[in-house]
Amino acid sequence: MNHRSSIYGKTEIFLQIFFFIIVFAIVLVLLIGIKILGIPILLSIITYYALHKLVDTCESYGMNRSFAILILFSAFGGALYSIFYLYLPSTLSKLSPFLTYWSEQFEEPDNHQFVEQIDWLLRVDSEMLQKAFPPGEIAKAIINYANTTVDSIIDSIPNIVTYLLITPLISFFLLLDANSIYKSFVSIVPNRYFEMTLMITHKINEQITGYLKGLILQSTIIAIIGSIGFYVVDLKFFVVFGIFLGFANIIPYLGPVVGMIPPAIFALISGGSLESVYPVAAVVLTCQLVDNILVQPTVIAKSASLHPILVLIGITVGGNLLGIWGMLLAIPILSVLKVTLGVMYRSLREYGVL
Amino acid sequence: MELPYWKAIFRKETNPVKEIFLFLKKTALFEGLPNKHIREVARLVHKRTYHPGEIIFRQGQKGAGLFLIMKGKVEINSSSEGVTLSLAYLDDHSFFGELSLFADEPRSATATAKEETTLLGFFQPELETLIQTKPRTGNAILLAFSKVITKRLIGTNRLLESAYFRAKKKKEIHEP
Repeated sequence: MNHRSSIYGKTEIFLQIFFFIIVFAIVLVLLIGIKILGIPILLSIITYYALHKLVDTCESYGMNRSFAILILFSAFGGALYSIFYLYLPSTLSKLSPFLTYWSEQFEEPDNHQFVEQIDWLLRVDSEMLQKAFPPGEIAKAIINYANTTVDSIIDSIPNIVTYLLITPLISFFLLLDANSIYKSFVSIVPNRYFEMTLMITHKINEQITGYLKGLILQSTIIAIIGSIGFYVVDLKFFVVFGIFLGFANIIPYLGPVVGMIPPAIFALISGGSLESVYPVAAVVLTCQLVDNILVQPTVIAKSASLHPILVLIGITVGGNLLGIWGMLLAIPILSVLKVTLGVMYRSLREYGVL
Repeated sequence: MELPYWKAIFRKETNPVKEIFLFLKKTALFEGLPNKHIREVARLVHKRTYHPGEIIFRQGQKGAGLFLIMKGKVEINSSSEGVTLSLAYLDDHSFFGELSLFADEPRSATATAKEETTLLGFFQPELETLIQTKPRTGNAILLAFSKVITKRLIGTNRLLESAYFRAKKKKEIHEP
């Protein structure tokens, strides 16, 4: 018997070490996975929060949950995919050679139209200033910047396609199985803090759902108004620019500027003069007015609003870590963190833990 | 028979939802409800294990819902002005803490596990989920709870009434 238990002792130690190695390996793989799949995972979580109430409603009418998710996905996905696959590549392929052509034009000393525009814009009178910042160089830099931006968007298309495939998959399982995932998560909480954890996570969930629903509603409204505005001012690809404006609007303060860059550059190139940018600016300004006066006060919760400095820090850090996606996702993540911390702090005080 | 280690690792546990469902069917709370509704509840409840002497919840603490005793014994006691009163000893199939499911009031008593106890917790978020996703089940559960709470209220009323009459009778005897 003793001999038997000593063998079991060794086996147990072996199994324990084996178990921890596996746990370590899983954590390692997860960490690497998060680095690669960070953006699709974040997008899936956002999709989950945006859609789970809708799926719940469908389920309450007796519809099978997975069927409800599939129907919602086909509806949203169909619209999104048709825009990305049918509309965007042709736009970009048309735009890119056009930009390259323009930048080549600037290499030639004869072409001065754009340089003159920049010159006029800066109203450079002083000779010294003109020497320090030659308008030609500035114009060239702007075009180069526009070129690299378009190139980087084209380069990121394979990434976007991967995200468009992986995000719905993760979102689907989140929407389907969130309850059991959540149950296994809370099952490891010690008995003492169990009820408290349940109530806090419930409240946080409600707040995040409310905030993200508001954010999506806000972006959609701005995208629709933007698209209509761009259509009225007779800008080509008005839907793409409108949607981009709506997306960029997620970033407070800087969003409208970021959202204006592509349509403004496009208007500048197709119109050939600075005057053609004015209608675009007017549309963006109208969107901002509607957003600030009507949409934001009714749709976005006050508890989720961030200080401008925090917004700036968030965008910088997010942009550094995950590029343009990081910039877009930084503010929702920060707002969610703020809401979460707020609820946690108040609840922990209520339960007498803090 | 003891299984070899590798088999023990991959041994399938009995389906927890089925086990909970079979248990819930026998409790007074869900008795007579259609299987479909009980299965939904079984999917949502949380199974927790408590050691002897472990406090399940304290008097005055904010509560989130009710507990059903799957296995074990639970003591309910209340303290006021330094006096602790043991209110009840509950065992299998009993439930407690149901008031917290409907009101954000602090717990009115302390619950302590008296032996190795397995409880099923059903809390406010689960009730809300049920009402939102399966309104028929949610309604049936709400009705079942209100029946049980009404029964308890009637019992408490009777107890108060008889205590009142007893006190009055005593007073009449002492002061004719």
